[in-house]
Amino acid sequence: MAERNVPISVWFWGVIPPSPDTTFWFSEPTPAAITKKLKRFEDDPFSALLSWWQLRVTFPPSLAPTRWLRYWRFLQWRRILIAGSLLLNGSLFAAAAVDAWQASVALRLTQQLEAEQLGIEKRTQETLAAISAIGIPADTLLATIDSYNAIFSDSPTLANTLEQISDALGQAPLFRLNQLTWQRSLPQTDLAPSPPSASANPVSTGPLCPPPEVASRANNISPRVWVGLEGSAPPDRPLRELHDSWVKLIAALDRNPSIKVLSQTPPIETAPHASIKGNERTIEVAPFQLCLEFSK
Amino acid sequence: MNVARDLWNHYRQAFPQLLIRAVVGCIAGSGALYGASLWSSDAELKLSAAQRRLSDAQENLRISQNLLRNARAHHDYFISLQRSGFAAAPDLIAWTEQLLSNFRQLPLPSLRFEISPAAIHLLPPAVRQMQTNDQSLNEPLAVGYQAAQVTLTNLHEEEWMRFVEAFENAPKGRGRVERCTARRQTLGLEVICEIRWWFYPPVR
Repeated sequence: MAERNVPISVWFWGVIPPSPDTTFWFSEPTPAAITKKLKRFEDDPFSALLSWWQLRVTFPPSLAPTRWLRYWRFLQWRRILIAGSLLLNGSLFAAAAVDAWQASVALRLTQQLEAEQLGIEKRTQETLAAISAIGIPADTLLATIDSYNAIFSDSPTLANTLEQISDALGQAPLFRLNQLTWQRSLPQTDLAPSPPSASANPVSTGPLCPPPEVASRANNISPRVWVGLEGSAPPDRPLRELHDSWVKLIAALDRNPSIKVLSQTPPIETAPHASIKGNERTIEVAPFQLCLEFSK
Repeated sequence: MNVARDLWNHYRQAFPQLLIRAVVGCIAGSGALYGASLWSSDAELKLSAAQRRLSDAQENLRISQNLLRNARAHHDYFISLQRSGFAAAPDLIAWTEQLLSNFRQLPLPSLRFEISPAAIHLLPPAVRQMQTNDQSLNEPLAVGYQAAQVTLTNLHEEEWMRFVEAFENAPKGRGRVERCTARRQTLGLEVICEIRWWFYPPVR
């Protein structure tokens, strides 16, 4: 240090000479090493506080001998202990408080849910009581409905099937129907007794429709209808016209997706092994027969 | 200096007490946290159990409400079947009167009928299994019917169709035409039909 009242030769580090107007001090920028090590609170508050605490702990407040600093060290350890225990205990008690709060919320929710459950169970009991109050045994109810649905299932109707046959016959107007047998199939077990009225119709003189092998296989649950047709063709028409009309009739039936031709007997046989009889005006024409199966 | 030494001694003697206080505080805090955790986990278990019970109760309620809705629908259907005469005792007089009434109202040229005794038709179990998707229904289902053979002569095709329509839509009895045979005659058709009035349960 310079002695008092002794002018010093170099007081200012800069090159500006002192004058009566200049202040007696200059602001120097903070050295870079200090700026790097000690953060300003404005720039980085967390690091600044941490550095401050670090300084308070690690660096002694003075350069006094160690034995003088023992008390200060003791105070530091005491501060650390108090602060640490406060932090730890505070955290523990805070966590305990949060847990307790969660537990109380859970208990309150539990009570609400139990109340709601009681209400729902009461409604369930009322619903079950309403079911019991219907009064008709469930077996009777279900058996009645099942049997009705099975018997009156959506099967082809008489009018509908006859309309489709009429449409097909309209394609071949030569042929004339003489007899028609319409029969609805019903799902039936093999154990079913054959009722007297369920036998073949006594007035039916045509071929069996459906054929026995089809009828034996038809014991299923899909509704269907069998129609047997028997008719005649005019004997005075050219042979080719009769043949073409028959082919047209069968084609019209085949085009209908709900009709299946199970068997057919044409009015004239045109296969090579068949025989055709007639005279100069007419041809012997046999009654034609058709067995059709209708499905929905 | 003595003051400083006394202070130092005082603090040095107080340090173990401070340490003990801190440790006791830590143990108490840990205990409180442990207790609170136990309480919280217990409450969470109770809550989850209550939620499970509630969801079970809601599921039961949903099932029972579906059952009720289903039962009411079946009941309404059953009542309609009762009104139609299917789910009712066979009423041969009413059915015959209805048949004759249809004959007079259409009108038809002639009518002959012969009603057979009531019989039973056994539906295979597959019918119910398909309708209900219940494979445990292995018994055939017996349905009763009263069959009649009806003969109509000198009939036009339209009269035949009108007769069938009137019979199948009659207010009394649930009847249906099961088979018919029609033959061309001089004055029209001769139609012989087997008609059936169906009912459940069958008459034993």
